[in-house]
Amino acid sequence: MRRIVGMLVMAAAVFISVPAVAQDKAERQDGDKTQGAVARVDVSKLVPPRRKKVTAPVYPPEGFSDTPVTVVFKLTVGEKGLVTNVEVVRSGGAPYDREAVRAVRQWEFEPARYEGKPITTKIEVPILFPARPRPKNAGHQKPTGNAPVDSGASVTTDGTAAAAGSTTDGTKAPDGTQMASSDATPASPVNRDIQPRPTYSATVTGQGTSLADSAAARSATDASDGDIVTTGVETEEEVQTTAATPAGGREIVVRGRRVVVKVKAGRFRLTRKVLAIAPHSSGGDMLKTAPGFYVGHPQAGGMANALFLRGFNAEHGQDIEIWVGEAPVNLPGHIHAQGYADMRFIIPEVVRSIDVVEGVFSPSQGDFAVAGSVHYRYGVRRRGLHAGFGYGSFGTRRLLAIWAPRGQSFDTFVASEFRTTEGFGENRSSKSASVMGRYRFPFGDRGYGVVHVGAFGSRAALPGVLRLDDIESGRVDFYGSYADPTAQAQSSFFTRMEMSALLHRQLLKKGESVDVSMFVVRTDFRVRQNFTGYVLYFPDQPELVGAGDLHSQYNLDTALGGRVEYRTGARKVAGMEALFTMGMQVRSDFIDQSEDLLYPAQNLIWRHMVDASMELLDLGTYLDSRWTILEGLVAHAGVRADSLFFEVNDRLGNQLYDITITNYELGYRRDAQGTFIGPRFSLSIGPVEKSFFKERIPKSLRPYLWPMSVSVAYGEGFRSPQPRMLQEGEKAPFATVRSVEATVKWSSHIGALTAGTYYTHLSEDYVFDPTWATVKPIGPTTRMGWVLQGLLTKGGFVLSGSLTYVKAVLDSPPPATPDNPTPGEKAGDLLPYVPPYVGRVDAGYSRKWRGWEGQVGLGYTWLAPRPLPYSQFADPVHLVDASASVTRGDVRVRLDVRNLLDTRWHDMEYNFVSQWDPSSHTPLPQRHIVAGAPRTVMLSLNIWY
Amino acid sequence: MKKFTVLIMAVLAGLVTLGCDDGSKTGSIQFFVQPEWTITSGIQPGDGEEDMRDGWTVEYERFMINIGDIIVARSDSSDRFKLPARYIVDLKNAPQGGLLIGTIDGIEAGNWDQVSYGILPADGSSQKLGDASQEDFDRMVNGNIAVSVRMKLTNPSGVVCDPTTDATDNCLPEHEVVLDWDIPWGVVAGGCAPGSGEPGIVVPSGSTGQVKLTIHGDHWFFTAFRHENIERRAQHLVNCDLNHDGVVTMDELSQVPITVLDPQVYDLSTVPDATSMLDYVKWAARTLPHFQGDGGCPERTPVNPE
Amino acid sequence: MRNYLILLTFFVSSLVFAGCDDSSTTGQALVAYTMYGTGTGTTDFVSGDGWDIHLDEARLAFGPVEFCAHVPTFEIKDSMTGCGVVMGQLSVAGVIDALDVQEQELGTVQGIEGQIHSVSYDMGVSWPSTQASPKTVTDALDGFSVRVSGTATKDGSEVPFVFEVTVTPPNQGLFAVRGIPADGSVTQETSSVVVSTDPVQWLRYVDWQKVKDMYDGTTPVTCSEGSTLYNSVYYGITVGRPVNFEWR
Repeated sequence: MRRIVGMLVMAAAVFISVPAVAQDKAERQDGDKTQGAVARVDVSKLVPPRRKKVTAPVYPPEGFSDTPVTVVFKLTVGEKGLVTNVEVVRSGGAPYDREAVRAVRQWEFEPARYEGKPITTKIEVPILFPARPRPKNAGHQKPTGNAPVDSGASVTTDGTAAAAGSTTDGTKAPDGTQMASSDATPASPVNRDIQPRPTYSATVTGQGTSLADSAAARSATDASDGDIVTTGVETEEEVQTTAATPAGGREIVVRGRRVVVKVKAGRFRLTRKVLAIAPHSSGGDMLKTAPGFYVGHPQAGGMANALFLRGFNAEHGQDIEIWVGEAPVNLPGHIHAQGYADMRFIIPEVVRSIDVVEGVFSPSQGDFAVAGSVHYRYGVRRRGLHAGFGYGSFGTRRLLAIWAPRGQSFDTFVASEFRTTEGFGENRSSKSASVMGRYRFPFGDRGYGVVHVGAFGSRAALPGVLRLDDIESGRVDFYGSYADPTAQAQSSFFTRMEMSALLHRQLLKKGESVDVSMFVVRTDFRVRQNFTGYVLYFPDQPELVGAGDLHSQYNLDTALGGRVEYRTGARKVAGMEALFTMGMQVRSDFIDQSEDLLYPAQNLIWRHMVDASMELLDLGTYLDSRWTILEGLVAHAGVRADSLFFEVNDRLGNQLYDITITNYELGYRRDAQGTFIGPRFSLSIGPVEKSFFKERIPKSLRPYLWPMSVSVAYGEGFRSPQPRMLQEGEKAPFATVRSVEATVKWSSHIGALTAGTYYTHLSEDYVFDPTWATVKPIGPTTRMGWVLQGLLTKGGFVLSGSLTYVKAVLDSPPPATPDNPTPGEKAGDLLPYVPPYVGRVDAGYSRKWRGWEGQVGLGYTWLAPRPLPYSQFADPVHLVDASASVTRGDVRVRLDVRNLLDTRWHDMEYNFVSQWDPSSHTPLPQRHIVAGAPRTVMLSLNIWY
Repeated sequence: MKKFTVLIMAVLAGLVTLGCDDGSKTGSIQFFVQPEWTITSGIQPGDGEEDMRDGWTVEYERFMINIGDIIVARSDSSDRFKLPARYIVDLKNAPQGGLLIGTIDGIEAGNWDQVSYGILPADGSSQKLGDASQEDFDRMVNGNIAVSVRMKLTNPSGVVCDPTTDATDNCLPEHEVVLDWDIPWGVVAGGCAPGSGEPGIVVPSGSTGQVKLTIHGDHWFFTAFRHENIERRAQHLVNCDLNHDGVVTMDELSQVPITVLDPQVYDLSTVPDATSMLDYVKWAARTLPHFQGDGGCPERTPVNPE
Repeated sequence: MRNYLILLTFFVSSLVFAGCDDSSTTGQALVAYTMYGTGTGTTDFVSGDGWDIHLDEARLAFGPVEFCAHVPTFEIKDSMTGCGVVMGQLSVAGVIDALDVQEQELGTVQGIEGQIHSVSYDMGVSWPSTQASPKTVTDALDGFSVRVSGTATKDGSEVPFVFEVTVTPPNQGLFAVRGIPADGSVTQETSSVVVSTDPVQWLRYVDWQKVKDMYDGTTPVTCSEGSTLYNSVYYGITVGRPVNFEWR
């Protein structure tokens, strides 16, 4: 019952956006019938818009003309002074149109006013490109007498703004050529007020806001930030184009921005706007805002997050492929968990957005993309120096310093973060430091490069897991840790060092480009953990019974790799517009790992469990194609192939415990290989208003159906096996996943609503076994469910909510082992640890007045009771986080409260056998929990300069 | 454009067929029978874990078994491979790397988790393999013998004690005793799993894997039928030389009750049943089949002679 | 507008109801049931070597017990402690009167559903892995695991006897009897398990002639540790499935 109520509340939350969406659409489309339109405009009360910022169009590289080219637009200038619509009235040819549109979209005006109130107006703007005859010899520029020497386009002053490089004014270079300014504000005579010619179709739309408007509230240069969550992904490519001067004069470089929208199923982009609402203490926590994600903290802040997505218990990353910038995060063959992904090195303030692909539908997704992929993208929008000081509960202190030099790309910055805390309970203190530097530079005249260097280190004490019966009997405190030395000795250590580089270059054809990226990542992991107390006993060392189950695991991994991806431009193939992407991706890991059982004092080893080194090589290649079958109907078809090679040196292999070793040496070195090939398809229609059948929709249904997009997708992915499990020459058995998804989406300028359903089948799933601190196979599994997600932005208000349901079941009983010859699990049993419902609401409101800006945000998480082994269920989780901040000028004070209601909740729940109480023998499984954080307050002061 | 399309289609088709190729890879498995080191090297007296604790040195003079019926199956399918041949092999004189007793070709690559084999009473279907002598072979076939052993035990200060009394002065010096047994009771041992790892075997794709069927030889000296927390002792067998002729026969074993074993030293709780020392040897013989060194085959089905 | 809302509500609620499904098991559930002990009630029988045995008392201390998923230990290469997955536990010890056919309650077994293949148990004396030495769990038999008393008669000779034997776990963390076969299928409906034992089996190794030889005419014959007689009773209660389990 509570489940249903909870879900209806969630559904209601996302419903808020719907009426607003429908309302606005109705008014915009049916101009004749709306109540909002004004019949006539009194021109005398109309104050025309005044140009504030103008970007010069770049002369198109492929544009050659013997005579000047004029492009005429009708620009819609919105109430905030931004260009909301551009209509080409007179075309000058595709290349010129393109560059001119690009530029005018970024223009800013003081909006037109009618009776004192800002209104939306349309103005006509001609843009003149000077003539540029095609040169006789390629590459040899000769000055021609009559050609104007500037590189930009000039614009007539008749009601319009002029662009950089006016032919009449401007400084002269020593060789007599005109020099134009290179930034967005051109020199005079352009700097004079324009008198626009108003047209007679001014409309007053009242409350309507536009995509660009809301974005403009943040910062002027964020116009195409893509704040709205779409099923398409808006990638931003920063393009630096140089327009060649016909006279061979000085080249002027203008930075432009181009937005490319690729429509794919199951993709969400989380942008800073949504991420900034609720407090996030770390990079991994930021994923909470993606629909269907639950981010657990298995050991307070001391270890990688446990990730749950769409029914997948990704442990510490085994089912989710994670990339940050150009470097991977998953560690294959990791001793603690295959695909261990520690995201604590990510500094939240330098994350520009997170691309989440739920499911495996894109050929560029590789190993570990079983539940989906996550790609963090770096970027610091607010330039300058940023210093942040945070102080919070439990002695938490955080120091942040970011330097983002002005005039450089958002991708250029140096950031550092130092963090320490005593922890909210016993044995939870931790210290960490993260630094990174990133620099983007132009690469030739049509490309850019990025280099990145970063490092992270952390050391923490770990509290372990506690038995519920011990908490209830008072033997141990809920926020405490067992007093046994073997429990007090738990700790973790992790360092990461990475260097990466990316080169991007536009090639000659439109849309053709190449990306080359490389990375080196070195991680050092060590953890001491004891989940089970005193269970382990080895018959060949009977005298060591009761030594304690303190596992010390160590994993050193050096990973090198790279990717080269080539995108063709749009081509006509079989009558359709097609785009192809071909890529290759390689990754090589050199791993050294060991595991011992320790006595706590002096880390005395009482048994070696693992001592191995491995070399892994993953070669991948993929091909993706995008077909515009009809207008609005886009299909993707692609394939991915990976070949993996494993070499394992198991130094403790072949250890015979019962027999004297007389005729051989210890060790078992072996190698194996495996290949995976899988197709990935998707088909999407939409939005309907831009599709080929838009006119066939009856007018009464248009407001509901036109903003809709539908997509279906199918993909096959894989996860590589734990190398130490492979035998000599084995054809490496990958866990293969088949994913199907169907999504429906409505989007508008203020919001979006998405509903989707999915099905995933995994051929070999794993579940965590606390006794051996590792995972064990449970056989094939199936997950089915649905997702509801909505986003609403209106004025300063942002509301984002999601509800995900999953039913994750075993397909067949797990394999019989000598220890468990007749497993009790059967086909159809629920998978343990996976929460069936995950709900999340983030609401934020910001407001500016008189130079002050205030923002409040609220985040709410709901987890339905998680199934546990042995048919137990965990308690549901309700968590509320809140934040409030006040900013004046360059100073901001922010208060973050996590777990506002101070609920006592269980971050992780388990059900297994442990032995802690010496006076009673407890061989049956018991509930164990990891306590969730109580109310945690953090006050931070941020200063920008 | 057309060429480009054709090229793309060709690449895609090639990738797809390459992928479809994956499912039908096969490999081969070779089975070796190998004696445990005690059979070839004997057992020395001493205090170490593998030493004979009560001073006796053991040397094997004959160790022959009738082995066969290797079955490889997997729990998730009905496929089964069986090598029905049975071989009488001389483990004492087997080469260091073991004796090849069977090969399965064309078996699907991957995990086969159910492996079993038997040490069975010999009969007319048994064949001679390796250096086994014709005389021993004939004797085993005619007598339906599964395991034929002859061990020489020596101890310069050895004694033989009357097992039927509790008196402490019931011992006489004896420095050399021979245990000469033709054991007819066999076993089919299944669920074989290596010491660590998944049960069964992994067949490599496109090549040949090798599997050792390890035969242990000292279980009648164990103080319990397991490998952990046990000792190797011989005195209880020496004491079965009731007529002091220096040879312990199976008949003599059947006359000594199991109660002569000290429960503080011997753990018989897992023996299905035992009345005499012959039962003790019978069950010991049924635990001889092992797998890949110290791996075991826990599903033991006793096979009795007809 | 209203239509739109209705449409959407319908869509969402259909999703909601699709989700309200109910498979709620993740494998075996936890169960609890009672363990009873019972005997055969045989007070008189004839031994293998022709003696008429009359029993006055035949009591066995039984527990703690662990039911295991593992196949019986005899059949496995190692794993003295090996229970595999523990399917049930009786953490106390009780006394079974083997001369009483009535079911005697020994305690409550906590466990999980599933297949049981083997059992390990103690007989009144237990040595958990967390203790440095064995400890007596029940004093009902004054620290002994079994007490059998009666008279043996043959050819006019009547020999009274009292046999008291203690079965101790051999090492820390081990049970006294480890991994013997026991086949049971436990579900939520299982209400009890009955342990039955036959005192005739306990005495099957005893050489009664030797017992008569030890009789001094007045005091009942006892067995002392280390003697063959002691071993006879010891193996009688530990070898060859002296107890049987039946689940109901």
